[in-house]
Amino acid sequence: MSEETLQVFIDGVINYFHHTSEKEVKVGSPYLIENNSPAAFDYTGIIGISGPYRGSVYFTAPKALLTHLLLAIGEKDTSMEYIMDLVGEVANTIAGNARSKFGQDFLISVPVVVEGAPSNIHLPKDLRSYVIPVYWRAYSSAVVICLEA
Amino acid sequence: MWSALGKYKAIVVSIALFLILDASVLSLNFFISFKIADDAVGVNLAGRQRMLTQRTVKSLYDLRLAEGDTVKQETALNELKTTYNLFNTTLTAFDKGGETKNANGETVVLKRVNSDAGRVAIDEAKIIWQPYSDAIAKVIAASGTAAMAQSLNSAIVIAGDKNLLLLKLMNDLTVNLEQVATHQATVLRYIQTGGITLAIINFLIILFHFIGELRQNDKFLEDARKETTDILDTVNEGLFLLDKDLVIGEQQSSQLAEIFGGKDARGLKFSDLIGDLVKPKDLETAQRFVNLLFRPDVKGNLISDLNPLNQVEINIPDEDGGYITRHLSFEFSRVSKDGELKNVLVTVNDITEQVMLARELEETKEKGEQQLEMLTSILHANPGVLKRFIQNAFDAYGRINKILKEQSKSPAVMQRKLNDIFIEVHNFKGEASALELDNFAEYAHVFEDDIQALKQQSKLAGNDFLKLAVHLESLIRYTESIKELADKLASFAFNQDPSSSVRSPTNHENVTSSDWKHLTKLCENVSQRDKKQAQLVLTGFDEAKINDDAQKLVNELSIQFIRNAVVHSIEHPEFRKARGKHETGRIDARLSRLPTGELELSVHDDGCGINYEKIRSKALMIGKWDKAEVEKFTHQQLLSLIFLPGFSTADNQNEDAGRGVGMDIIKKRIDQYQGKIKVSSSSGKHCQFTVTFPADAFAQNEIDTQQGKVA
Amino acid sequence: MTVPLKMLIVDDSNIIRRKIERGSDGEMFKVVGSADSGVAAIEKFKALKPDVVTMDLTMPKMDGIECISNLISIDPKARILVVSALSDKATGIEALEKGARGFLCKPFDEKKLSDALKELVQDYV
Repeated sequence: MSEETLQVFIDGVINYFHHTSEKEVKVGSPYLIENNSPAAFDYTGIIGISGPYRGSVYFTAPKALLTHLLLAIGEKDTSMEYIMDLVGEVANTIAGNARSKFGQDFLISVPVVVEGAPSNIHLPKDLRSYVIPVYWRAYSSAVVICLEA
Repeated sequence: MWSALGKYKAIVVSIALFLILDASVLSLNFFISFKIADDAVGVNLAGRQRMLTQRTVKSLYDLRLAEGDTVKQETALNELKTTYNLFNTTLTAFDKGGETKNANGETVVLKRVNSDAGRVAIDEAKIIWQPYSDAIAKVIAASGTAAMAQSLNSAIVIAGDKNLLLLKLMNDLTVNLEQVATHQATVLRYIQTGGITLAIINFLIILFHFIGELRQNDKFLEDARKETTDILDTVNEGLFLLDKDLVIGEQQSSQLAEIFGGKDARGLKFSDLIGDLVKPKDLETAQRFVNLLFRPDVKGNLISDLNPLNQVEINIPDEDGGYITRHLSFEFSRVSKDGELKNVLVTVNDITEQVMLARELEETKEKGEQQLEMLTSILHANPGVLKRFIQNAFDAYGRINKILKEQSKSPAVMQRKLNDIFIEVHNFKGEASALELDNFAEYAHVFEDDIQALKQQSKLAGNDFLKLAVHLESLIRYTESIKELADKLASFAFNQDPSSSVRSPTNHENVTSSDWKHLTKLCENVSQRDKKQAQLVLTGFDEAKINDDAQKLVNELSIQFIRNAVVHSIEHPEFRKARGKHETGRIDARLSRLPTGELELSVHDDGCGINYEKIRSKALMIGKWDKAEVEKFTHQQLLSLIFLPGFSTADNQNEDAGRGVGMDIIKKRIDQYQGKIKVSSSSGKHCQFTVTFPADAFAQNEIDTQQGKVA
Repeated sequence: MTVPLKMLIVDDSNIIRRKIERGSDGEMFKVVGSADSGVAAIEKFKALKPDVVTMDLTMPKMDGIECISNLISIDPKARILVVSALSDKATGIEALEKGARGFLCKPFDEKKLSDALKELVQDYV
């Protein structure tokens, strides 16, 4: 998978934060993980990809970041329901960005939000994923990309 | 018309039969009724004949009594005339058939009486009537009183004689005619009863036979429907009909829902069924294609090549946010009814398995080709060495990933990370080229280039490392496939022998089988690339009993030292010749276990030694130190410079030198195992690096080798 | 059918024209003319009044699609068989929408061609 493809998904997340009142977001140094031990924070929004590449991309973040992010977009209700919605929203933005960049050849699913790590349905065991840390304020979150050609 | 009735033929025949039956009963009824009416007239007139006989007699007597009274005589004579004529005419009519008058004076026609008893009565009556009639005729015809009286007397005599008999005969006729009439009525009743019975039977036949038949037909239909349903439930294809508006019909195979993820297609538009699953352009083309099938002038058999959905990949979203990819084949065929194109039958086949199989075959083929290429790239390497190299590679990848994983926003730390990764990659490259694993070496070289480019960048961000992560991933992937191949190769017995025939025949003849043969090869290669001549003599390598960990380090160090010796110390052949040296330089590498248990590696060469002035000018160029300071550097100080990161005195960067790591890695690795390094050099004569490790250095560090696996 | 049907071949490639000529059944069809462009095809069509036309789609001077439209406006009953390489199915479908009746994909063998031509005229009266 090319760097450009990965970048599209990373940009999706950055895009989302750019639409909040606190735009300052930093991308950390990407690294690899084996899928048999997926990395995840409290909540994870997953999108499925099909087409020239197949697999999944997910955004995972701790509850604290999401709570803070809700406040940053002017939402006072920080119940779990809203937090789940927010994670889905970020995943949606990633999907939208990917759709506009990749065009019709790629199929991108509606996001699914889970607590904790995605199940192995989304992550083929014998593959690796790219972890791209995303820092916002004092919090860390990550985009995890697992695609195969 | 008849054939159009089809299965309704029988019922039409039955109903027609019923009508014919009814009509014949009715007409018979009519006929007999008329006959009975005729008979009634006959009976009536026969009865009148009885009365007429008496009236005739009475008229005869009236005539006698009216003698002398002309008026009365006249009346009586008229009465006699009328009675006589009426009786006579009626009798004749009964006898031969003919006209007579009824009570109202109207003409009626009588049929000849044919019954036996009737005939007897009439025939007898005729015999009696003949003389009687003659006598009466004479009375009527008589003129004059005397003639009248005479004829009257003879007539009265006959009347007295025959009247009762004639009355009886007329009575017989009446009775007979009545009997005949009664008989006719009875026949009529029989006919009517028979007709009604037949009609009822016919009705019952219709009822039982045809209703049964209809029931059976219904059952057939039901069975047929059930059969259709059964077929639709069991076929492996998705089947449905499309009408001209491209709306899906009510009946379809159950497999269809299966194929389309449980979607109920009934009554949906075709576009609603597949619109979300195929590309918009494909959908549009498909709709246009189906429309062509509804055009009668288009030859259905001649457009199948244009079917845009004959093999189409669809992605059905599942509940987990992923996609199920299916390969479907749609076939479209026309359904005509009475020569008109009514529907298009769509057959959907799930050909995922076939497509996957074909793809797998293709991939296997491709992989086979790749593996062949890989095979050629690793075939020359000793399996044991290759195995060690792969393990080292994974260790290095693990370390690189660990460096990547370390997060920091400080530019200094990021630079250090780049440096650290570079060292790892460079070291890896060195080992790869020493083993002539050119693919690895080339890959590492590209990796290095990207790191170098990043190093030049003034501002580094986390995202800049993405490129490196991608390189790392590809290297891991490549190494995994090589490992797979190497494991396979290792399972072949002949390959266990390092001196097997698959080795390159250009290999040095003198070298015995050894795990260290690659060092000799490295020396040859580097010399060749640098246009130098050098010979490596290995001593003690095969004999020293060292563990894997030590072996790994000795290997790394040897590679670096040997390469340095060739690149930096050994002179070009002409130069050596001019100096009175042998054109071929000599490098001695010795590995020995000292009596103290320490492990010592020394690499000695007979080249020009360390060029301190070159180091000094390089140090000046870097500009890290004052000129005055550099001028004052002792040999010892200059020597320490070569162990600094990024310091190289090579003129050109190439695979073997000039990248400025090498000595600093060596320093780091030696430190890691508490080793000591000693350098001795005599300008123009020789140079020697000696490294000593404590006896227990490797035993302690054994655990460390386990780390490094990615993640 | 005693009298052979008149056939016009429209294709810009000599090789294909000859191949179609060879492949068309001698008893059933008689090639009365050929054209290497859409413009030429229209002229020949008017002059020769062929029963059957084989039509390439990619040609210089008016492509096959436009040519089909023209031929159909001259004679709505024209029997046109598109003989073309299948680069884009939508183009083939467009040709049929314009009035062609069948599609034969290049490359083809003689049997395939002759079957297609028979099918094309199967209900001819």
